[in-house]
Amino acid sequence: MRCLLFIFAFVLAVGVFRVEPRSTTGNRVLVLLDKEDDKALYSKFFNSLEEREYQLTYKLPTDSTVDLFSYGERAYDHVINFAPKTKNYKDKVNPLSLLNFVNKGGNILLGASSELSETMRDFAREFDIDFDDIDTSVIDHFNYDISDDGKHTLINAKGITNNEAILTKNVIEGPPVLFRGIAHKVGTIPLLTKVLWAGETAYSYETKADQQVDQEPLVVGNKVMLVSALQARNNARVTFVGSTELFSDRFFDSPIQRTNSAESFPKSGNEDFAKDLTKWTFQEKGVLKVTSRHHHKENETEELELYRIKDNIIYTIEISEYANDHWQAFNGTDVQFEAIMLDPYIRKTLTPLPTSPEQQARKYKAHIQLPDVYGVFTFKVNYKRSGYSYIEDSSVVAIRPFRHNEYPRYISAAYPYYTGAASMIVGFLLFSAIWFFNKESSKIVKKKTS
Amino acid sequence: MIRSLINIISWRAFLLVLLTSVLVQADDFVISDVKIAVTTSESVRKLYESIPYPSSFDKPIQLTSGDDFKMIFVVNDKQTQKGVQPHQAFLTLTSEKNGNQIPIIIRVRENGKSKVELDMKSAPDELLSSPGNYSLDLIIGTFSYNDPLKYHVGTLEIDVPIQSSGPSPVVYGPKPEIHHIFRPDEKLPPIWLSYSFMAIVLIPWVFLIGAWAYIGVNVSLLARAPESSLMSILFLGSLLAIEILFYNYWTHLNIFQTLTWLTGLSIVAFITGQKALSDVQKWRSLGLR
Repeated sequence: MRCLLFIFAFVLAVGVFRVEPRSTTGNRVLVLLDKEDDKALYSKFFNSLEEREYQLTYKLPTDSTVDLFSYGERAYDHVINFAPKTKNYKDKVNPLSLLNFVNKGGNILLGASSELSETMRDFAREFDIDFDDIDTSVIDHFNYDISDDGKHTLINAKGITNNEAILTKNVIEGPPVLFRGIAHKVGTIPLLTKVLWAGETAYSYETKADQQVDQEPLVVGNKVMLVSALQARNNARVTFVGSTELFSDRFFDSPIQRTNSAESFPKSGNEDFAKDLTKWTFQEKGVLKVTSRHHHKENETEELELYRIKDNIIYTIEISEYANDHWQAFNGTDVQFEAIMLDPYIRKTLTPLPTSPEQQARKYKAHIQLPDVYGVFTFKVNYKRSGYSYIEDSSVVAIRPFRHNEYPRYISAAYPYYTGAASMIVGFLLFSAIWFFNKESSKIVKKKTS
Repeated sequence: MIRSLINIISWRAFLLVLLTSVLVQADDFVISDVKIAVTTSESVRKLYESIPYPSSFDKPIQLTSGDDFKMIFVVNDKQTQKGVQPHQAFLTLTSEKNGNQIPIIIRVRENGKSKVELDMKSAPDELLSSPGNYSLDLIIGTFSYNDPLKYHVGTLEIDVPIQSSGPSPVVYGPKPEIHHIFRPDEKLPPIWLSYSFMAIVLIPWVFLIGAWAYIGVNVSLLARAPESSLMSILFLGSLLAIEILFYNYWTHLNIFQTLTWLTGLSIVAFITGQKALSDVQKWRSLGLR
């Protein structure tokens, strides 16, 4: 008995003290490195992840014991690939299995460098990201750092996204980010978000000194992407960083000052940028979910599956956002409702209702008059914004036409008919009454007899 | 001997120049002999100007389809006044509308002479698909020089018919609202027409009442023997009730409710009707009518 009690207490204690992962996906991270020693280069970065309760497993991509899946399920929640040079990936970890990993909802942070292998280039192409050729670097003769070694490749990133779902305000407005690595070109698919890019004088080319740029570079100017992020349709996130050095201890602690500029910062923005970027990639922020959804007729509360055309209904949806390690009310103001039958018939922006701080979701509401077309409609909230996880909430309702007795009863054009019918009825009743009670007058009787 | 000495000295001088250029790194570029020209498709020279280096060409340079824009200049080292061959020599066109940059790569010869051409016949699609004003900048930079050069040459005014560049890519964001347009109500004839036909429908009443007045219609039987006409009144009452039921059927009752009511009322009407008609027969045989 005592033994049983002890076991019960133990289970309870484990339940209470179990560490809740901060990420909404999980806390198992696989770190792929070119060589074991590389771990020391990024010690600060990895420590900060461990402080955020992630369990890091360091492996080489050439290690045949590492497997992304066990029995068909993801064995890790996130992958940090800091092994750009490795060409020979093993069977278990390769671009295809990484792609499957994303399809199963895993998140990937990919660090590249000028020596990026073709294997990883192929992987990036799957996401409409085109890294420049091997041995090319981002060069900017205008925005290189004063600690540059004469190659003008240690650059201060010029453009940074102002998307606060991904980066916090103090990172966006803070000191610039130090970057040395390879450029990439982003495609036009809407799943991609540009996070960090170079200035308008930058370009991507080989850095041999005795050479002249004689072929058009892959990307020039502000099209030179340094960091971009992709959120797949299943909300898995993949972040492409053209420089693994961006995460290194050396760059984290380095002061930053642009050449020919008096403005200097004692510490580059890299550490905070890396923190925000991993928070976003590992689903610690910008995660949305629908907590409830309801629609009903005005002045009623019951949710129906069948409405009439031209009915006035009220549609409400509650959306919650994960940020700062807890679920809170979402602050977006552009959530839209759609009533769709093949094409959207109605699209309306929902009104966000005020919330109190302890509420974990915000209610969005709209008064809608249903269209005068009957059929099976889908009420949909399709909220896709870069940086936020996608919301696609739909409910199917049928909309029926007027029943025979729901049409207006009195139409002015039919007044003569109503009058005719009423006149007939009154005439019939009156005639019947007279027929019953009439006493024939004598003059007619006389006429008859005569 | 002397010859070799000179050789050594010249080599030293060359090395010195090389060293200064690497170590001091204070050299600047300088641009000279900037000339621009625009030729139309009929080989007519529309524009030929030389621009004094630091200042820009103040008038917009108009380019229509078929035009050919050419620019020549010389890149020199500011100190040695010798031509240099930089790593980066781009002419960038920056859209004043959306900030889109279109680079043109310039080949610089060893003596610093450079020539760049923008032929509208083979211009990049990006340029042709969004005409408008473009800022024209020359960017020159290289590894061994600390100060790169960015020179605003002027403004290009691209005036070509817009070429559609396929469907525009999907961008996530709020979409325009759609307000459903309801079918308009059916048009009704003017109300006075309805009223006038109502009046026409009612005209027979005039004849009916007139005729009744002429023959002296009355209800004197009711006054004479109210007690014996109870059944007739009940029968007429049941007829009235049936009419009211039909009216209610028309406005709100359904067929089942109506039939229930009608069954009850018709039984009443049947019984009272039979009695009332036999009363009428009785009065007639008594000679009361």
